[in-house]
Amino acid sequence: MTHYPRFPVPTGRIYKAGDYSHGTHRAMSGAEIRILFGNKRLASTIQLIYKNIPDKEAEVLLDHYNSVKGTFESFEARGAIFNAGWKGPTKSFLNDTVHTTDLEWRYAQPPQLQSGYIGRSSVTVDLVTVTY
Amino acid sequence: MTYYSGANGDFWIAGTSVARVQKWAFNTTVALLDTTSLGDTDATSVYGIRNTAGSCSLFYWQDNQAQGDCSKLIRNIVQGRTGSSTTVPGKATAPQSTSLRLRLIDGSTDGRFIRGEVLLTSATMTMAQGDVFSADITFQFLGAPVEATL
Repeated sequence: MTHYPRFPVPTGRIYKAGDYSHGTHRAMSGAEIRILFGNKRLASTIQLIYKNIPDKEAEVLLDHYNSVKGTFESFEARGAIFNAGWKGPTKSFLNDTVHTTDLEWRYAQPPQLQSGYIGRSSVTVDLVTVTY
Repeated sequence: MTYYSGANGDFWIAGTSVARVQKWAFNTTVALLDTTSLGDTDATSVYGIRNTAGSCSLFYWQDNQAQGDCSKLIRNIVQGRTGSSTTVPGKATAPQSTSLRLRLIDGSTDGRFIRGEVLLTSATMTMAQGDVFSADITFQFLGAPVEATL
């Protein structure tokens, strides 16, 4: 099992908490019945933004993408990508393993690399949780 | 220790010293790239693109029919319609680049200076009672100066 690179530390992060699987049925009267299918939250996403990082560190991110066969394989992710700058009481809140199970991540789409100044690039990575 | 003033200034256009320059100035700026990471408390940056631009003011003069350096410089961007295109409002000679040397006369052979190819970005001429007719020119260096010895 590979791990997502702990470094570089992202310069920005956008987290979406996912949702619990459920179904909605609406009767002809308009009444709505909602059925919960499970007790684990699914499909959380996180966008990691790395602005103006050295090209060497951008390569680390792209190398990892290659190592997990792009969006195909899943991997574990821990550390600074979730914790850096987070001061909530639960340190691993964004990498929640309490309300999900055997939490792993995979790439939601290929990373985007934007070249800028000499030797500096900006990379955006989108990850989505995989629950077994 | 030697200090200098306007009396020690010199200004060259395309390799020739300009006789009636009132002032020149240049400004070099460097854009910063933000590298502040999550968890940092203070902004961090690295150097990005550098830019050098400047300005000058030239008195306008004529010697009989001969026009002075001011005319020579502003003609790089101030252009009327020419030739067969005089009836076409959107056609005139394109702006030209030129070379400038902003020089300090310090007693050495070449003096101290900054020189390079420039693109003129504006020319402002004002005629007013009590003022000598002159042109305020702004310019942008094409990349880094060719030489900077100031």
